Formats: sequence, C-alpha cells, structure tokens
Amino acid sequence: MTRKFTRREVFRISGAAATGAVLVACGGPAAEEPAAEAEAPMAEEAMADEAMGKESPLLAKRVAAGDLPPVEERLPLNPQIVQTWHEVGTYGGMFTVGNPAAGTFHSGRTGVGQEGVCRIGTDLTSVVPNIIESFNISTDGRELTLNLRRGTKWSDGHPHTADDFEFWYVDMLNDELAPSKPGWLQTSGNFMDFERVDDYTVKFIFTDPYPFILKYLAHYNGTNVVHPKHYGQQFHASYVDVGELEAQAKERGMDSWMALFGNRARLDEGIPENNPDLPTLGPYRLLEKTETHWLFERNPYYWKTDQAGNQLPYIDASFIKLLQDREIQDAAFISGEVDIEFGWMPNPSNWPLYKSNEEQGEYIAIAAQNLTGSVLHFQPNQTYEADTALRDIFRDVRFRIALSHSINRDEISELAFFGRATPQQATVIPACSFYEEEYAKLNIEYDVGKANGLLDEMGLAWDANNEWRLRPDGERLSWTIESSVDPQSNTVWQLCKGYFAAIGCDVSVKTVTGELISERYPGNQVAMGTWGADKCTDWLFPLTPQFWVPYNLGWESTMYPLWTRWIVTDGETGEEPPDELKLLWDLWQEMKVTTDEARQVELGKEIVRINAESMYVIGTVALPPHPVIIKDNLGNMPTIEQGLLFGWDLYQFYPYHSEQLYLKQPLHTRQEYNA
Amino acid sequence: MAMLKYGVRRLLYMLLLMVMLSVVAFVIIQLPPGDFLTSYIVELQQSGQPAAEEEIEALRVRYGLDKPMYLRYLKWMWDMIRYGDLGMSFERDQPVAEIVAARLPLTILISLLTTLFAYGVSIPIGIFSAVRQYSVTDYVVTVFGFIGLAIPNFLLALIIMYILYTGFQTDIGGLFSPEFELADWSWARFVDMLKHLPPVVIVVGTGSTAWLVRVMRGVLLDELSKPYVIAARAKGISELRLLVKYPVRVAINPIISTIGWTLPGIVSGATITSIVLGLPTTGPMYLQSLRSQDMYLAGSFTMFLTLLTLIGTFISDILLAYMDPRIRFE
Amino acid sequence: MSIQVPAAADQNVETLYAASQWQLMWSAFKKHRMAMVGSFVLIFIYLITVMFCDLLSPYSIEGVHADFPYAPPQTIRFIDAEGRFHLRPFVYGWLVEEDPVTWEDVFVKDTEALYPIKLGVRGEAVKIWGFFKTDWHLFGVDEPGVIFLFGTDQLGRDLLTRTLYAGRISLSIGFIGVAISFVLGNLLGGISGFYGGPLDNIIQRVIEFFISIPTIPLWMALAAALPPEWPTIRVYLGITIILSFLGWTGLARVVRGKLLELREEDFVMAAKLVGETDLGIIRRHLLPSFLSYLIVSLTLSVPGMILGETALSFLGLGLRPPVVSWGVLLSTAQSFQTVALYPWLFIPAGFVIVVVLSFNFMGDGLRDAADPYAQGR
Repeated sequence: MTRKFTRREVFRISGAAATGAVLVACGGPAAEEPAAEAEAPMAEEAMADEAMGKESPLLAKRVAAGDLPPVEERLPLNPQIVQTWHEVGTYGGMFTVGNPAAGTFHSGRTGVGQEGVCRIGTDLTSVVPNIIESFNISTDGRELTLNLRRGTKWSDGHPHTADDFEFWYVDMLNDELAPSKPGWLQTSGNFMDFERVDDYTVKFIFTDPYPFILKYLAHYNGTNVVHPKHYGQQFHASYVDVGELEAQAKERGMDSWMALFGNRARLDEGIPENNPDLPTLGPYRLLEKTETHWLFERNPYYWKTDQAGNQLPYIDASFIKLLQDREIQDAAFISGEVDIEFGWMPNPSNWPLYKSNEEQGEYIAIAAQNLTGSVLHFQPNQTYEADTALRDIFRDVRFRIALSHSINRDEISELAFFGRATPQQATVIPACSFYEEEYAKLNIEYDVGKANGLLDEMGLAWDANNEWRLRPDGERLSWTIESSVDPQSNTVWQLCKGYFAAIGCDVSVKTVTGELISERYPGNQVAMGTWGADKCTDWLFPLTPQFWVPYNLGWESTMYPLWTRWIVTDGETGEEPPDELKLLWDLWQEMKVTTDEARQVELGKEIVRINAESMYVIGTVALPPHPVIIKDNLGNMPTIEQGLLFGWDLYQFYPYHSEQLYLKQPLHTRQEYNA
Repeated sequence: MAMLKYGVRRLLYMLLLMVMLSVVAFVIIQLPPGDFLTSYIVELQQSGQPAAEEEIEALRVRYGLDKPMYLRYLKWMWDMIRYGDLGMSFERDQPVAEIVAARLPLTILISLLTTLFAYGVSIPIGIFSAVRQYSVTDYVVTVFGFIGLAIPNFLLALIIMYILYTGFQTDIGGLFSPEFELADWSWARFVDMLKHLPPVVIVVGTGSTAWLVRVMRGVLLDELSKPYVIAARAKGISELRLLVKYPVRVAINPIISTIGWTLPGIVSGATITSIVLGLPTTGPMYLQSLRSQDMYLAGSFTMFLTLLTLIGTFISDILLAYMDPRIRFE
Repeated sequence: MSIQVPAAADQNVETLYAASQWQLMWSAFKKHRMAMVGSFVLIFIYLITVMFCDLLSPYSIEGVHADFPYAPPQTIRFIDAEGRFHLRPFVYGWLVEEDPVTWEDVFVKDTEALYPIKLGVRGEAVKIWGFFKTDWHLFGVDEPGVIFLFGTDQLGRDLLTRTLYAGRISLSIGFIGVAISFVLGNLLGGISGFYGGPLDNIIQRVIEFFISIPTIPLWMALAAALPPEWPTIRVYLGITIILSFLGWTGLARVVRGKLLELREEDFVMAAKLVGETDLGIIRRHLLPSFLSYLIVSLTLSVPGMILGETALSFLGLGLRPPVVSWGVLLSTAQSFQTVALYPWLFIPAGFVIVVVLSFNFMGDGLRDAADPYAQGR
C-alpha cells in the first residue's frame, strides 16, 4: 500500500520539498560492534571534537535565522556518543508510534526516548552512565558519587547542573510533595542523604552498603530523578508565595499547589506529559497534546551524537497516535500506520495476522523474546483461612508437585504460543545469573500417573463416580482461582482447568476486575491466585522478588498473605511463618547489602532453590515470543541476533537507544515533517 | 397558561430530581471496590511497571481519596455550584470540562448526522411499508430492517472496517487521513472528514433505523384501520392528504414521546461503535473513566447525561402535550 | 328455542361467532406466513439448544483437541474424491502443517481418510441438564477421525458444540428480566395512565428518576457489588433481575401515553356510563386496544435482551468465559484476525441474527393478529 499524496495535501509544508532529506553524513554501515559505550563509561572524549557542527537541516535553518545558537554551543563539552546498530542515519521526518488511548504511557516511550541518570548498557548486563558522565561507588558501598556532564542543557537552553538534582531531593522529596519517602532510596528504613559537592558533582549517601542503587538508577526509577529547577521553582511553595500558587491552581481547576506543581513542573519518566513549556533532557519535547495524538518535536539541545558526530536524534518529530481499542491497534499495525511498535499492544496470538499483512502494510513483524519467567503461574494460598481443610491440602508439598505434573506444558506452548515458549517453573530465566537448570526444570514433566500417585498417597480418595477427589472431610476437592489476567493468558488457564480436572480437582476459574483483585489478594480472601511472573532477570529479580520472597502484600501475589504480613509488620499482625519463609526473607535482606558479587549470586540461587523445592508458585511456560512491528523504512533497529529482547525488566527499549532510529528515504506522507 | 403552569411545575420537579440523582450517580460510581488509585496500580502492573506504595499514598492524600465519600461528594457539589468547576480528571491530570469540551463537538456532529439519517430513512420507509402491507416491498424492508436490528453493532463495525481496509485500502480508525491529522482546519480537511463519516453513520444508524421503521409501521397500521380513516377515505380525500393529515400525526406520537431521550444518546455517542472504529467521541472516554474510577470525570459526565435525560423527558412531555391536545393537564 | 337454519352452514357460523379473541388471533396468525416460519424456526432452535444440546453436540463443551486449533468447518460429503457415491455421509480427515512464516496451522483435506458419520456414538462424557452423565452423542465419527462441522477455536474446541450450549444460556437467561419488566411496566404504566392525578404524578417522577440513571455505570457498579463468591452466571442473572426492576420504565411510559389517549375515547366513556368496573374497562376495552403495541414491544425486547447480552460481553461487563453464551463466543471472536483468517468463528452471529429475525417475524404476525381492526384484511 503506497500512500499517494499531492503537494496540496501535505500538511505544514513550508515551501521546501526537501523535508529533511539531506544526507548529512556518509559514514556507511558501522563496522564496530555497537557496544562501545557499554564498556567504557568514561572513555568518550575521543570523538568529542569532531562531534561538533553536524545537525538536522531543520535546526540549521533556525541557526541561520538566528533563533538558535550554533550546534557546538548546544552540545555539552563531552556529548554521549551512541554507536549506531547498523549505520549512520539521515536526518528528517516524523515517525508515528502508537500508544493505548487509555492507560499508561508505554508503547509510546519508544517514540519520545527514555533518559535516566544511568542506563542499561547495550550488552544488557552493565550499568552505564547516561545523563551523568560517570559514577563512582565508595569502597564501603555506602556512597555514590555522580559526575555530571558539563555543558548539558535543558531543551530551553538553560544549563543542567547539580541544582536539578538538589531540587529533586530537597524540594520534590519534601514532606508536602512526598509524605513518605520512596522505598528504593532507603536502607534499613533510613532515607538517603544528599550532598552537593559542586556544580557538577553530587553524592547519594546511605546508612548501609547499597549496591542495588545502580540498578535502580539504570531502570525506571532513574528517569524520575532530574527535574529542571530553573523552571519548576516558579510552581513551588518554597520559592513562591503559597497563596499565589493556590490561586493559580484554582484557576486551572486544581485543588492545591501540589497538584499544580505535579501538572506543570514534574517530568514523568523524563517526559513533559502535560506542559509543553516544561524543559526536558529527552530527545523530544512536547508540542501539542490532543484527544487523539501527542506531537513531539526534536530537542535542539539534546546531548548525544552518533559515532560520526551528528547530533541526535535523527528524526525531527514524533507523533504519538492514541489507539483506543485492541482492534484499532491491530488495524494500525497491519495497515502500516505506526513506524514502530515495541510495547504491550500486539497480541502474540495474532502473529499470523501481523505476518500475513506485512507486504500490504510495508512493515516487518519480528518475534522478540518476552522476558517472563512464566506467562502464568498458580499461587495456592498457604494461609487461606476461609477453608482450613483446603489450606492444609495446599500446604502439603506433594499436592503442589502433583499439580505441577498434571500440567501439559508442551500443549500450552503449542496452543497459546505456536510451540515457541519454554516449559519451566515460575523462576528466573536462563540468561539470569541466578538460574540453575535443575531448579527451573524440576517437576515439569507431564505425568498424570505420577500426579495421581502423589494425591493417592496423600489420602485424597476418588468419589463414587471416579470423577472428583474427596478431601479428608469428605467434601469434593474443589476451589476457585480468581484472576484478572488478559485473554491471552485466559487460553492458558482454560487449559489448566482441564488438566486439574483430569487428576480429580474441580477448579473453577473466575475473571474479576483488577480492582477487586487488589483488595482480595492482599486481604487473604482468595484460595488460589494466578499472575504472570516477570521480574525474573538480573535487573529486577534482586530488586523485587515478588513471587519468591515474602516481599510485600502485593496485588499480584497471594501465596501466603498472612505470613508475609507477619514478616513485613515485624510480627505485629498476620501469622508466624515457618522457618523457611523467614529464611527466604533473611537471604534477601542479606542480598540487598552484599557488595560481593559472588555472594550475591550464591544468595540469589539459594532463594531460587528453596522456591523450586517447596514450589510455592507453580509455573507453566516462559519466554514466549512477543511481536514487534517495524516499518520497512525505519533504520537502525537492532535485530534479534544483536540481542533485541522485550520486557519491563529491560525497561522496554531503554538499552537500544531509540534516538538513533531514522527514516530511510523516501518518506511517506505521514512521515514528512517541517515545522 | 395551563401549558406554562405545567412547564414550571415540571421544572421544579426536575431540580429536585437532579439533586437526588447527583447523589445516586456519585454513589454508583464509587460502589465498585477500590478507587482510582487501585485501578491505576493495576494499570501500571499490566504494563509491567511497579507501583511504589509511598507514591500511591501521597497521591491518595492529594486526590482526597482518603476522605469519606460524603465529604468528597460535598466538595464536588460545592465546587460545581460555587465555581462551576467540575473537578479534575485523575487519569489525565486535566480539568474535566476541558476533556469533555474537546470531545463534544465531534460527538454531537456524529450523533446528529446519525439521528437525521435514522429519522430521514425510517419514517418514510415505515409509512410506505404500512401502506403497502404484505407487498414485496414491505417484506424486503421488513427483512432488511430486522437484519439491521439483529446484527450486533460491534460486529457490523468490525466487518465494515475490515471491508474498507482490504477492499478500498482506506485508513481505518479515526476520522482523518494521515495527511490531515495534524493539519489546521481547512475545507480540504473538512471534506476528508466527511469521507470518513459514512461508515460511522451507517453502523450507528442501522439499529435505530430498523427500530423506528418497526414502530412507525406498527402504529400506523393500527391507525389506518380506524373508522375515521375509513370514513375519510369514503369521503374521497386523496390518499396522501388523508395519510399525512391524521394517521401519520398520531402514529408519530410514540416516536415523539421518546425523541427527547435521544438527547443523552447524542452526547454520549455510540459508545460501542466508537470504540471499534476508534472515534474520539465521549463514549469511550466515559467508559474508560468508569473503568478506572476516575471519580470526577465519571461523576460529572454521569451528571451531565442525567441532566440531559431529564431535559429530554421534559421536552418529550411538552411536545406530547402540544401535539396531542387530548392529553389534559391537571 | 332454536332457529331453523341449514345445519352445516350454521354450525360454521356458530363456531366462528363464538370464537374467543384468542381463537381469532390464532386463525389470523396462521395466515401470516413469515410469522409461522419464524415460530417454527424458534421452536427448532429452542429444541436443539435449550432442550437437547447435550445430546446433539458431538463433543463436550470444554473438550480440547490440541491437534486441531482453528480447524475450518468440514463439509459433509456423499461423493468422494474419486467420484464414488457413498450412501452414508462422511467427512474427510485433516492433514495439519505449520506455515513456516505465519506459524499458522494449515489444514488440508486428507482424501485418503474417510470417516463415515455414525448415529449414536460413544464419545466425550457430558451431563444432560447437568445431572445425568452419559457419553452418548447423536452423531459422530470413529477415532482418529474428527467432526467439526462449524470448525474449532484456538484450543481446538468444537464450535458446533459450543454454539449449541451457548444458545442454552443466551435463550434462557434474559427471559426472567423481560418478564419482570413486562409485568411491572404494564401494571404501573396502566395505573398511571388510567387513573391519572397524583398517582400518575408520583409514578411519572419515579420513572424519570430511574430513566435518568445511565445504564453502564449502574451495570458496572452492580456487577462489582454482588458477592464476589458468586459464580459469573449467577452474578449476571442477579444483575438482569435488578436491571429489569429498573427497566420497566420505557414500557410504562408508552402504556401510559396510550391509555391517556384511549380513555378519552367514546367507547370508554360509554362503558363507564354502563357501569363497568375499572378493571373490567381495562381488561375488556383498553387492553385489547393496545395489545398489539404490547406484543410488538415484548417480541422486540426478547431479542433486545439477546443483543444486549452480546453488547455487554463486548464491553467486558456481561458473562465471561468459562460461561459460554453467544455474546461470549462473539466477543472472544471479535478481532481482525478472526475476520481475516478464522471467519467461521462468527457462526454464532448467524444464530443471533436468525433468532432475532424469527422473534420479530413472530411478533409481527402476533401484532397483525391481535389488531382488533385487522379482520377481513
């Protein structure tokens, strides 16, 4: 499908037909491996000098008109250099990225860039500096020093300095805006200390060794640290009269100055979501926001260049199209409306649809591995008080092993994921350093005979019709699984219901709203829960081991709510857990403060082992394929061979630098842009 | 005079009802367990993102969700009466009035076109089909009308969308071609939009058209066999004049008595069709706000719909009284 | 005292004149061909779904056939690939292969494997009416053959089986709601319209109140407020009943309007003067006059209920799997992928359309038959 357009129809065209079609650099395909920046956090000076002076024609025009300072003055002294995945790109155009109209901003992130203090390196294992130039952890692990990139500027041209960190710590984490302090900035319950060393150096100081802080700064949390003080202070009560702010808030229909501040001055994951005037450090700044789309334009002061010294991003503008419904989303993919989709919108079941429309929509669908340890796992509630007979059965590890053996994981993979998922327990994935094949594959064979044997051994006899098993009290062995998971996983649990029936367990499955789940799971009201198990890589497993440690009374786990409550409240409420649970908690506590990496791995593996053997969660299949849609003329997209993976654990596209994507000529109507 | 008195009394009732309904609306929206923040947490989790509890707590205080329901209600009402302020949407971090205003014009446009289409098509067909009862045309109209009634709207929308996509390679979803999406309003953009409207109007219109044809035909048939028609016919009045003069007027009555109720429908848009066709009308927004328990947005819009229903009923009653003087007012 | 007339002819006249209104209606109804067809179709569909879906279905409703996901419908054949005629109808087996690009299972007819359709076979165990366990199915084929006349879904479940079972739910669940609305609507609308005055005023305000509450939030709130322990189907039934308590308003308004109009008619005045009781007037004079409207409204509200259920399922507010209704089948099927690649999953829509059509034709026939002025036309 080629979109024809006439000159008259081209929007916002300002005379010149060459909409950014100038080939700026002819570097050709890059020969080097694209991991330069990952290896040497501080060795970026080499190319800094030649990095000057290459910019988008769009900006060159503005410079010529005197609206902008020249590119050398806009770039920092030492720009971050992005080694592109394939070649040096060309400037220009606008790309379209979809995002669900309702709900959080996720697919759209690829379109506006993700910038945090640190980032996940392209090798997918190292933490590398991002906004900052370098970092340094003291030998005792308690002090983190961040050295800022000198000369970095906000999108309005104002210099970015230690002020912006201080603003966050002092003014945004104050008692009014943050009555309780973020958990990830606390060690043993103590909130971190902040020290401003000079204009370009800051320190985070903790009471205990805290190696995890780097992982936090390289992931989602790290994108919410830096906010523009020079702009934000005009909405902050520490700098402006409260009455005045309250009046402004009222005028905008808000309750308090805090709401006003949040709306006007708070960057959301580095992105100005509501206020086009709010400066950003990201590659794009907000131009307009409507009910159907958001439009972003390049940030002229962006502080990254490619290996040839061209200021990034290549693409001039980013159009975030809000897609209301699953069907509209699929329609947008197969008609080639979006240039890249790297989010949760595509449904793996629809792979045949995406694949068979590639030619018409001029795109390619590739299947990236989805980093999940189990697309769906079952959580028998060990502390279910409403039915203690059932609880006691759940507490018998033989029962949980029997359930695991009753599941036909190959069939699940076949029917729900075209045979391309990996059967394993709900545990970490093979690429994780805590992985042990022995634990991941424990009790996963489909063996109804063995399962029945175990249940017989437990004394759960069959009823007269040989249809269902009976509990010791003579009642039928039956329970309800409550879940709010999406239809994709529904296929899986519909299958599992059948597997459980085959060994005499009468299981009914009930889909309920997420809101209800968020009350009933922590409230110990559910006999058995289910959820997908992500957070199973080196990135997130140590930070949030939700399914393997009595970590919190969360909305996604209900293995042992009362025991967890006992642990998180220091024995005040809940029910005292068995020693094994306490051990899991202690192992994790030790993990958090251990700076020795070998010991870390040891501790992690121990947690994995205990869970494998006691089987508090029963897994199905892991690492299913996830469709990624890429328009044919989108350049510099990493390939599967180069390590493209999908999942929240990698914070989506974060390691892959979306600012290096470019549009190959000729552009489509939609892709033209000329401000 | 009687008419005026009747009107004034009805207006007073309406005010009372509004107050009662505002309470009911507010309670209904908050009846499901949880609040906006639990929905928000679930939303975050479904896209893999963790929700920091302390952040959630801070939001809960800021949004006033820690306060009891009656306080929230009073605050909402007070702001509405005092400042004409409908509150903020939590989910979009934008004033409710702004959000609704952004979607309203298009919604009303689509609904008006659809209503015009439905009435314009159905009344003549209904009359024709009644006059020529059991003719081939009557059967054809009947069958098509019933099929229009019988196909679930979302299915029809989906199929039309697919046909447009494969058969005509039209852009699906939304109201504009890509080149016009960002353009300023112009004649060309308007024309482009008009091109995208017919499937919408057809999908939304079929259901109500079919229904109206049925009602029109049914009631008219009743009327046509009444003695006064036969008498008039015997007197030799031309068939058309005879038809329009009395039976049609009477037959339109039940339709009139429900015309006022289309008012809230006009504003809430055809929710299901809008969802499938990806139209930025108020319907999908409303549904989403209810799902995520976006309290003020959902509440204010519910109130808005309620008000329109009351006004609609009022208009219907007045119209009915006006059209049919036999209805006395006491 | 008898009148002397020729016996045979007189007998006829006699019975005709003595015919009750119902008999008159029946004889008029019989003349309406579409209505008769509609009625028979409805009876047939009720029989195969609500009554006998357990025995008519070749498989059980949750029976997964992992080797046949998204199998297209099979054709019943009498003539094989070599042109030979078989007295006993048969279906071909499937050869399944995965497409290397789209990963789709491609189904090719295996003309080597003929599976004659047999009556009264043993197969997957089902429970008739949820009580009597049996493995007897009216028809089927021998292993390893399969018979999927409507094709299968993602899990290889037989769509014919699921459609029939879904019909049982769809065709029965909404009726309670319709019945309650109908009774309430007539009663209150009737009182309001006939007596008028303050009673009318009160009822009208109550109606306005109910009518002004938008349905979707109400539905959502109720769905969430009913005990979470309830199975989905009971929740749905509960909501239907509650909503029907609120849903009588439309009918009541129309009934009232109609009565307001009718009570001014001369024949009502005449009846009053003769000393008829109120109830008598309503029953003997008013009711027949707008019976036609009631019937249209009733026959339209049943399919309205069926369609309403599909719409609610679409919005995720109605029944949910594993409960299976036509709405659930359609809402799980509603995707671009289904339209493009697995169109047979829309077969349940055909059932919805046929049922709604039949109800309408039946209603049409009833309307015409009930019309007191329609005789002789």
